[in-house]
Amino acid sequence: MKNSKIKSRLSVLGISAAWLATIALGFSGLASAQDTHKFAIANDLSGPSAYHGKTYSSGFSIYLREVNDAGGVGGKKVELIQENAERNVQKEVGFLRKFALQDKALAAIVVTTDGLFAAKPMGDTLKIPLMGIGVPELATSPTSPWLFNIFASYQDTVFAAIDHIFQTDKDPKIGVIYPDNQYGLEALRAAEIRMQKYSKPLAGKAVMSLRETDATTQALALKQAGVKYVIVQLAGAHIAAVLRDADKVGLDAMVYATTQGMDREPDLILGQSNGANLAKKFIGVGPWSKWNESSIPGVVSMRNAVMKYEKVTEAELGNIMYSNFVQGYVNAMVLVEALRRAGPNPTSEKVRDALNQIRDFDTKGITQPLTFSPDRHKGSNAVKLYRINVERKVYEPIGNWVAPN
Amino acid sequence: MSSLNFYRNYRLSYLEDRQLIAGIHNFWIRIWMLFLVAVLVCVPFVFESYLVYTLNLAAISVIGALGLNLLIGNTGQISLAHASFLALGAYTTAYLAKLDVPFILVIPISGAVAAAAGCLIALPSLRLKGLYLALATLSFYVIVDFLLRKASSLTGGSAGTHVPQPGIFSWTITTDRGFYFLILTTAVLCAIFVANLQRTWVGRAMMAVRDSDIAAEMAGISVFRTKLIAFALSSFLGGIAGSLLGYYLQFISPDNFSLAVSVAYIATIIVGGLGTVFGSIVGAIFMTILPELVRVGVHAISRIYPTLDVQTKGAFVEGAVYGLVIILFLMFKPEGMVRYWRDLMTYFRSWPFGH
Amino acid sequence: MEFFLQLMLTGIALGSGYALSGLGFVLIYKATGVFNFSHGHLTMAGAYFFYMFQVQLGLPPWWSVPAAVLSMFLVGVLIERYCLRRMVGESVISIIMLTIGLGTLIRNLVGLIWGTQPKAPVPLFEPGSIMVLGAQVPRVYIWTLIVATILIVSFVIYFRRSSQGVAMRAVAFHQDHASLTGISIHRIFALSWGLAGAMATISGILMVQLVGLDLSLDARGLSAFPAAILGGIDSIGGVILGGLIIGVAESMAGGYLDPLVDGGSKEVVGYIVLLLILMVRPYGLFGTPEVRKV
Repeated sequence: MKNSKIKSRLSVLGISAAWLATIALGFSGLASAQDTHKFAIANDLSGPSAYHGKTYSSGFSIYLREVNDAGGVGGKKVELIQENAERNVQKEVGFLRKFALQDKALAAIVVTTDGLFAAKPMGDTLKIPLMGIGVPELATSPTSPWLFNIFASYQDTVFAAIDHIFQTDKDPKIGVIYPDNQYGLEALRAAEIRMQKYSKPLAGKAVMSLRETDATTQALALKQAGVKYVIVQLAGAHIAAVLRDADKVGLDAMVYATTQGMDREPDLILGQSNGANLAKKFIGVGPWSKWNESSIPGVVSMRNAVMKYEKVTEAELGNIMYSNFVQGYVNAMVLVEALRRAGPNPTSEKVRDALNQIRDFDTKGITQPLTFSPDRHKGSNAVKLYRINVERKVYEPIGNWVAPN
Repeated sequence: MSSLNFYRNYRLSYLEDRQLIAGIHNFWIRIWMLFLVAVLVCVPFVFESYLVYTLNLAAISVIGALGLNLLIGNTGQISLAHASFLALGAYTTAYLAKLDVPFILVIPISGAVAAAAGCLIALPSLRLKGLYLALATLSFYVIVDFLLRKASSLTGGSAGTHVPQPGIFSWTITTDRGFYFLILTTAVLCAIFVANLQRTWVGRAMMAVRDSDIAAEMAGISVFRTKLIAFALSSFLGGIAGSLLGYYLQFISPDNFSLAVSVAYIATIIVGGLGTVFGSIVGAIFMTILPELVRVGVHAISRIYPTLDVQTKGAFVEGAVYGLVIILFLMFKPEGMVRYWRDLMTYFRSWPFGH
Repeated sequence: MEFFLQLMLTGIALGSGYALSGLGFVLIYKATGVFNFSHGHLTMAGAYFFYMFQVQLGLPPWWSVPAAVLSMFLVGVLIERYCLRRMVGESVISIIMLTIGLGTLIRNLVGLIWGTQPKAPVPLFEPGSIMVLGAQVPRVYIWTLIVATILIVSFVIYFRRSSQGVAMRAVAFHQDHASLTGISIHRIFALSWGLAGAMATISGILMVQLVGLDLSLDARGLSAFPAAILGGIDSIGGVILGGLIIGVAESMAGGYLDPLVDGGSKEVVGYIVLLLILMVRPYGLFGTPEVRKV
């Protein structure tokens, strides 16, 4: 009896001590990082979009390191605060409150389209410029005072995909695979709008949730509808699954991936049995250049920065700079520019006003020039189309920038 | 003799027996109550916004836990569908608030809608026990989740919907502080309600059903009626909690009300203590604070050891700690935190005779 | 018609996977009276162990499968020994919550070790489809059906004929009487949990062939619950039938209902069927009603 009493008392003491130590450490940690400019992100570091989240913040941080090494902004370093919200909209919104109220961040980033949608009406309570790793059209049309899209939206990628299809096929049967949330619905809406422009109907649609890794039923349904082109508003693993399962059930269609669908190098697709043939059916559409496009000066300077800070060779760049790395890098470029223009003692409102004054911001070719104004919160609507280069295992651009209207 | 009357902890009249807060005639209890009220009122003025936000969420969790505890702790019916009642309350609130109904009405109505759904679930509970009931409630949850996602015109579907801020005539609650008082008042009212419910025939009937429903039926208690009341009340409280959640977060979606939420509530009442109001309160606060502490800990470690990439693993650490807490409590302290409290009280009461 | 046949065959194959998984529940329930909510998570852990042996350690598939199965057998035994022993005599809700807590812990440990990204173990069966009765059915489904059937049949034979199987049934029937005849209850409990872990692993490996390996596997394991309950938690024949019913229902829903309701009906259908059957037969199709004394 006595032995277990002592044990349980010790365990209670031990646990309380551990808690107190953690809290003490936590607060001491928080206190020490006061004197910097802060940007914050409610990221997904371990959830379904971890590829997007981690590469994004990696790109963002590399640019910040460049900036800090050159002296920071106004003599102070710039910092990125991260919290792991794992695509949970409630957590994302909770962290936004923390960023705005406790951390006094100058701008905040969330991962999900749904998070942006949720945060839209809270703009005036939070008073912090918001952007997302997701780039939905609904964030910026209608324009809301605090939400920004640095890049072309999903709607623009869908428009460009459909325009590309109509270049070669005057009566195409197009289907859309999308998840049942705001992110997915945007692609569906965009496809319907664009098909109306050509006065043709959308041939088929199928829902595929982010958690599904098997697209057999969706492929079957689209095959029933006679679809020849599929637009998939999902991530790389889903694109690979769609390609695989379309082949499995005998659906012969070109698969168009939107922005987030190129979240990995083509290894996933090429690594499957029959991968080389599957890769031929792939076309990706995205609003920023890829790491391997070394003819673009902006890309070259990004690569040099990565080689310098991550101490890797050129061959290994693909392991770091894929997916949303470029997005994070450019996003940081824009935010730091706004920070510089916001003058001394910047607040989140001043940063927002500065953003509204950026015109033709030059990312040295990584994107088209970015312009913002109080009425226009989307930097650009230009996208590029990509194919898979099977030998070099990278995404290669087809043609030049397209700006669907 | 008469001076002792002030400090006594026994009751001398039926009036005193009927008081809502037990022992309120006692001087020390009064002092303690005043102190508690003062502390609670001062909290939002002393602490900064994010902490108040966390406390608000904890208080909402308390209301939900009180409801679930009535069902599982007092009546012994297992339910995995609690999140669905929160969802129903929240979506009702979204719908009514958009019609500019004052929150004074919206909150009880949301509770009532959830209670109606609770009565629906009471029907299978007549024939099903234990495990089968748990599965039936699981089915209910899945069906409600599906319906919420598909009825997009009403609910906004999987994408979710915004909830306007609570208002009455021209006055709206917008700040964390304002919400704090709204939520705190509701929580206190619910706690007093549940605590006193356990003293009435309804509460005793529930416990009889929990302990042995066949014997209860033979003793003249209508098991059906008791279960119906239990489900209805539990869902009512869940609906209120959901309603407050909707108002506070200003945005709800079916993902907010997943199975994990139901499981979290069950864990809350087990950790706190089944069947007790104190357990619900303590459990809810504990379970709300725990993830925050883990998060702070993960941050601290990532500052000290930046190479370990703890942040990524952070969510899993949180989940693992969560699961571990449930397991450890069930293995070693199945009566929950209430037991700690009771042991502590017993220790002091029987001091210096100890053990 | 081809569409219907394709769905039917897919459903039967899927259902046999569910039946196999459901057998694991039933085994634990029959022997120890515990309903293991963490079965789905064990399934996932088993699949990840398989991945570890096959890809990370590089063993050939016909070594990695037994290795994974054995590891999870051990895990099952350990769970029984250290967690469940203490819970003897506790209420149903406590035990259910314990298994839920275990499941959460297992899931997060798996995530901690292997991360969230989907993994790509080497497929065990050749890809592509073959024509069966005029419908194109992917080979993996056929193989799943074959493997699951063999395992189920061997399991039933084992349970009915072998001495351990008889001992398990004795313990399930009446613990005290069984121990009086010299059967070691602890050993039987350990054996049943171990076997359940092993079966979960095989079912997990099969599932991986069908849908890939990532952290959502535990939610798929959850689909085996309706299968087990539907048939009656203590009836092996019931579980098999239940699994097939749920598998076919899901497949049909996916093919016919999904286009009508824009997706998502697959998961619900299983539970709707379950609810309907429970209303009519509260102990499942073939389950034995509980007789309780006051």
